[in-house]
Amino acid sequence: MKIAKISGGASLADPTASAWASVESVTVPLQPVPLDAQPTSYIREAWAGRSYGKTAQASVAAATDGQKLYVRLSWKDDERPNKEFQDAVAAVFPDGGGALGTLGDAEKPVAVWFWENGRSGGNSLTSHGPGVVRKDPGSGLAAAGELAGGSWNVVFGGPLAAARSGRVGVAVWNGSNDERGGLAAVSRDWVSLEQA
Amino acid sequence: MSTNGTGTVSTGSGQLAWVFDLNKCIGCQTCSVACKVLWTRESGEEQQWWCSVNTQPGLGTPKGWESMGGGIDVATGKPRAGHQPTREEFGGGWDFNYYEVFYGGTAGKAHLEPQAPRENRWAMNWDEDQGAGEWPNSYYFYLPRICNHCTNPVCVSACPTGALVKQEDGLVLRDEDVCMGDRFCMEACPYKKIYFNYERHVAQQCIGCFPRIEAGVAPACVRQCPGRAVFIGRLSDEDSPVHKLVNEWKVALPMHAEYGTRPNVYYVPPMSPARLKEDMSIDTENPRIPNEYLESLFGPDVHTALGTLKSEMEKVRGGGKSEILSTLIAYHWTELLGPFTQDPAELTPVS
Amino acid sequence: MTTTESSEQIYTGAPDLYRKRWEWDAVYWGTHCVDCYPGNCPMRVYVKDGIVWREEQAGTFGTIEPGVPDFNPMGCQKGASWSQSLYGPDRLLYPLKRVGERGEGKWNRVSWDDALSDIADSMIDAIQENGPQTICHEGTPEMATVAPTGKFFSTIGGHGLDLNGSINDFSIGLYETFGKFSPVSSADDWFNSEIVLIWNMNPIFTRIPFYHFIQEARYNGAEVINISPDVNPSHLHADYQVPINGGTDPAFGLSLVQVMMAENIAHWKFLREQTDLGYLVRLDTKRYLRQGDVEGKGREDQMYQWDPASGLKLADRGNLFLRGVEVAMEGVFDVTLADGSTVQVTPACALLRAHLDANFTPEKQQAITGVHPETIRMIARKVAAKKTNIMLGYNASKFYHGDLIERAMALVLAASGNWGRKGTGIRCWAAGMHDGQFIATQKPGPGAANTEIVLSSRDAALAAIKQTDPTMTTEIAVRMLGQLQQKMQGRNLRMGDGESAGSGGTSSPPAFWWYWQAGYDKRWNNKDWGDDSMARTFDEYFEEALSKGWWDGMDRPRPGAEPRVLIECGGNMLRRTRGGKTALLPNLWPKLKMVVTIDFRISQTALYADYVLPAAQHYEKVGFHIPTPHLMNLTFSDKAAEPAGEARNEWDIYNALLEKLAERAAARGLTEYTDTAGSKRRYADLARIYSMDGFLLDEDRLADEQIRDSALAGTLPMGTNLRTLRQKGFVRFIDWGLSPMAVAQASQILPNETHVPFRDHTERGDPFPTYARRAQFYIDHPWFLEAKEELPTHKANPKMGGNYPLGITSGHNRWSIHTMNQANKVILGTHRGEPNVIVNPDDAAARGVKDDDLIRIFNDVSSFTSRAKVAPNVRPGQIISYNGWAGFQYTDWSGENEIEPGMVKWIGFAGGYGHLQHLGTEWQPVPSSRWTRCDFEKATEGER
Repeated sequence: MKIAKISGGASLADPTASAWASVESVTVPLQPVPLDAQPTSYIREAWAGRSYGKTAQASVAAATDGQKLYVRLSWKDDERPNKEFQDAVAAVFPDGGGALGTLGDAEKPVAVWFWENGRSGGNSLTSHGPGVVRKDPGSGLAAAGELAGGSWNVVFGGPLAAARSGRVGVAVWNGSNDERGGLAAVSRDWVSLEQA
Repeated sequence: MSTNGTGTVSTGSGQLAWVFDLNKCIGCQTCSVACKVLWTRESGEEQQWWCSVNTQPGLGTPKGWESMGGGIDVATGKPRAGHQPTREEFGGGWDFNYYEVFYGGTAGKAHLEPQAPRENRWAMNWDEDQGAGEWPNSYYFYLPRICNHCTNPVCVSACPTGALVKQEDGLVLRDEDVCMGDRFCMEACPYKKIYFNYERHVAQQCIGCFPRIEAGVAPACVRQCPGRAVFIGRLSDEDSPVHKLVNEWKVALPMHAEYGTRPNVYYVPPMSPARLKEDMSIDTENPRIPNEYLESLFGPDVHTALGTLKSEMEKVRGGGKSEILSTLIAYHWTELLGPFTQDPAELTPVS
Repeated sequence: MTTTESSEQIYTGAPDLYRKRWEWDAVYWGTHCVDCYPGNCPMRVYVKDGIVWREEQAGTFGTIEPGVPDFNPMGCQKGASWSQSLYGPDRLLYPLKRVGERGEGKWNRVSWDDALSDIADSMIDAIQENGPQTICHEGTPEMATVAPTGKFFSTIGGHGLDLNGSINDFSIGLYETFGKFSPVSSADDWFNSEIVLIWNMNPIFTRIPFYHFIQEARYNGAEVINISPDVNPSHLHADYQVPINGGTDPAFGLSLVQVMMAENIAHWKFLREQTDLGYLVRLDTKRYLRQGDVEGKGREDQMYQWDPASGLKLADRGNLFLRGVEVAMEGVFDVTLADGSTVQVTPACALLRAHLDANFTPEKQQAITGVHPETIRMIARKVAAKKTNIMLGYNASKFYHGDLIERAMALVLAASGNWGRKGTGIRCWAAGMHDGQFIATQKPGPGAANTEIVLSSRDAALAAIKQTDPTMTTEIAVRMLGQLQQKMQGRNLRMGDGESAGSGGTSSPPAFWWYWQAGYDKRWNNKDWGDDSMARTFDEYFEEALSKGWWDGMDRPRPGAEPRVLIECGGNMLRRTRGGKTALLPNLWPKLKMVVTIDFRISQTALYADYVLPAAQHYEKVGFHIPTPHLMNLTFSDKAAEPAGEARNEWDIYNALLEKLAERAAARGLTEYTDTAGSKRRYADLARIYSMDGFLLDEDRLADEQIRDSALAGTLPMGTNLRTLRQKGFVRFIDWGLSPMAVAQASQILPNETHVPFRDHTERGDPFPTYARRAQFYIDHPWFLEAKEELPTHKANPKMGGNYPLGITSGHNRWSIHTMNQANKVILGTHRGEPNVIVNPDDAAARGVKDDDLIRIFNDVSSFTSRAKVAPNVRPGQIISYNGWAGFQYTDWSGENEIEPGMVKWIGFAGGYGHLQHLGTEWQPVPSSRWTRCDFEKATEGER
């Protein structure tokens, strides 16, 4: 997938901006982060009989204005919102060499741009496994999301350097199913990120 | 990843434990209020009562917490699935229409009331004094609760980010910079004593008043209890009332030991007035609170504990002496405070 | 910060966030100087950046009596969140002027100058029209406002109402028995009890700082018995819960005595000595045999006993001790009268026993009370054998026949020898001891020399009174002095009584105000709501009382001088008055040209005022709590922060008002006016007289002077001053001083012992201040004979409010000191956040009501709506509305007091009989409310 180059300061940070219409997007299938990879016995016990990560697919698009990398993630969400947990999404980068399917592990993390409905901005995280995350302070990550027509469109705007690995993955949390932490649907494969 | 923990700290070691004497608790909520005014009056903390007192039997806080699961299966050692209490189940934290009532020119048409839906309304102490049974044998008692600072803290082991740490002296504390707000701790905690801050997106719970402990001052729920019902101390200190009541005399029991987390808050179970028979004469054989109910809270050892209390009471009424009852009397208030007898007002203020 | 432990351990990962929350830059002593009685909890008030951040109990009391638990850490949830009211949404910050109709809730913020000008104009109008006594206030027990308000009203010659008559914290039956109603042990003495009867009290709600002494007594071997219609919270830690039909307590108590006497386990020596039951009563008139009957002359209040060895014996009025004489308690004797005729007499005890045997055997009482006979026998035997303390609150006195309840209680103690020694007695209330508080504001000027003038004139007055009757104790002389001074209108010289010394001008029992000014005459004459044992109409008794002069000088304000200006300072008339706005708004309010509320928070009464003036809160001024024998300490409250907004302390407010009064009067060309005593008062002098040339406006100087004056009066240790109190926060009293309630303790204060009242009666034989000079169980006042209440007896509750199936009861709530904390958001979070009425599940089901449903509670008087709280702790037929919700928490701002007709028991108007004479806070007609009849129904949801 190519990172579209959009000049002139178009409002890429806005997920509904018309600028995104012209950007190539790739649809990727998602699968649950495996139960046995979940980091605590509590989570493994409590979710042994519950399904999660059933969001089937998401589409990814990327663009840059030369300053920042913008990643737009979209997926269908037709369930009613949960009062306690919110829908969330992440763009995942293999910076530490970690595996996408488990969102990294103890030795090899992945970098995560995280957005959650209802909270302003985005969180830049280092993930050492499903839900095993640490906040990276001062990342300058922005994020905004919009639910329209039963679909979420979320845009992250972060350092262009994030694209240096040339790959991005997607993780989606369905809040109405109490999904959070490592209870997510994650893309099976990395999507390539090519500099335009 | 902690950004702090840099203060000069001295707390000693050895598991800290609390004993609440339910025969001295009068349900006044001073502990709850002292805790709230000290720790949880910021925005986002409205619904939080790290220390709370409920009327038993009752649904308590959060509503129906005893049916919410969590904890550890004692037989298998595995954690059990639990429910994460919701905002509605905690309830309370309401706004009120002060301005409208006082200055709104409504001439009585508006009165001061919670600005919250009526349906499913609940609060920390919603079922206060309701209890169970039928008049004249209705019964109830008060149960104060804080975080149990468990020896086997399932909240700690459930947390994927390692935000919760069991400290050397047994307090379970959270690094809020590490907490991601995933709330597996809230599901796993069988006592449902963890709260969620929806503004800061972190969970919060009783911190054992660690800043006070560091300065040698007893926690607010202990030091501010006007009923003199709460002891704190180290279980390993054989001279401590806490050790004696729990380990030696076994009149203080953990609540819901079957939850498997080995709580460090203990309760002297309530003795209750005699029942009345059908003809309104006194039934001295039977206590008002059914023993089965107490057993459901404090386990089968509750019978022994109550038996000990009863025989000690009889001994004293017969003119004898009882070390157990003298301990519970706590002739000097400081006996309740364990090693934390520092007067906070005598500390050097921070300016 | 200081550290106390050597072993170092870092709390890893613990956030500094919380360490930063526990920081402060200054600490002050504080307490909550409102009518939280006993209150007096020494707190430390922590201040950060000039703002009160939080408070915490001090916990610095030492042990008084070795082997008795200490008082720490006195406090409660209200006190622990007082700071949250200080800057809360009900806090008043600026003067407010009503702009809509009264009670419409429309206000403009105005300047102090504008507000005071308008109020001063109304005061001048009132003075010109009908005299300064038409400027009125109802007393307040809020200590910070008592002295400034009292001084203001005495300066202008205004009129005050005796607060205790309004709120009925008057144990009328104890008063009828003992001639005083203030027996109070120190709370730690409860620990010395062997039997604790919690009877018409709910200490788990109302004695939060002191309750531990009860459970600790239990751990020390005491048995606790809770007697109440409902399974109230104080049953929790009792050994026995005794369910009693509402208001039938006299029958219960009298049956205990019947058993003690019948089983001969009563304390006969105690009864002979301490009570009048050995006095002889004429069988023909049912009146005492008097000296005049036998000798044709002598004292009207000189009675006789019967010495089995020598026959007729003049009862010793000067000492209770019988010195070996076993006066007869039974038998009928012939006595030859002065006129030569013979009359049969019998000891009052014989009449009592016949009365008890005929009506109050355990089996007969069961039909009245529902209490099983064996329960009666069990309790009677325990009480007769053990040191017994009755925990009495102000519930009994609020039954219509509350005096009968309390007389029966006193009789239980008498028959079991249970007063005047540790672990015994009955709990009531008393204030006093801080005599300097009033000396300092009423003496001619500052300084010790002026104090000596006051003290020596007081001593001289007492000596003069004692000369008129050498059998008089200081206690009795103090009461007489108070009564004499009270009759000297406009010159209230009495010192030291916290309730009325400062009430100044004239003061009166509020019953007359209600009768003449607030429409209660119709209510009290309503036979359907009244006492069916009345032989005559209410008005006949009322007229007789006035025509006999029993209330001369106190029957005010009279119909001809309607009140014109009402200044409520720290009071809340519309909420506290039984009948509330249903009675007061249509009848009293139209007469008032100006209603002013001075307070630090919005109250129900403030909502119906013309002006609301913001006062400093307790943490914003120097003050003291009401000192009480419960604790025996003067408790200090410092100024921890500046008053918020434009709030000012009350001394300043009144002084500014008087300055404005002079200015506005001068503008009208007025220079002086005449008060009710006929004296001239000059407008221009008022502020100077009020403030003692500015002396009273300096908070520190005034407090220091008050403390020093108490030391000079001998109630505090010499050397006590503001500086020493600022260090320690409290100081224990060493003597009672000369306020009636304090002297009435009749017991020495010992430095290392708990306090027990009445030891002077039991250990020295000091007489009681009653007509009979003993604890008086036989009252031969003609009205009592007419009522057949000469002896304690039982009467059914009248159908107050109409013929309805349910009785509503009340009691102080757990969550608020009166309404003080009702808007405190922290406190609102400890319950349902709004008022409720507790109803039994069966009564609820019968009316289709579920928990938390909106219900309408109604009777002939009015109705109010509230949420139902369905709970099996209340018995069928009873509903409970705990007292102290603010009116503005209810629909239409109408609370429980709206359905209470405010009936007063007619016998309270009796007088002309020894102790049946008014003295501030004491003997007067008081309103009743318990077991008002009513019913309830489901109300329409969504009503606002």
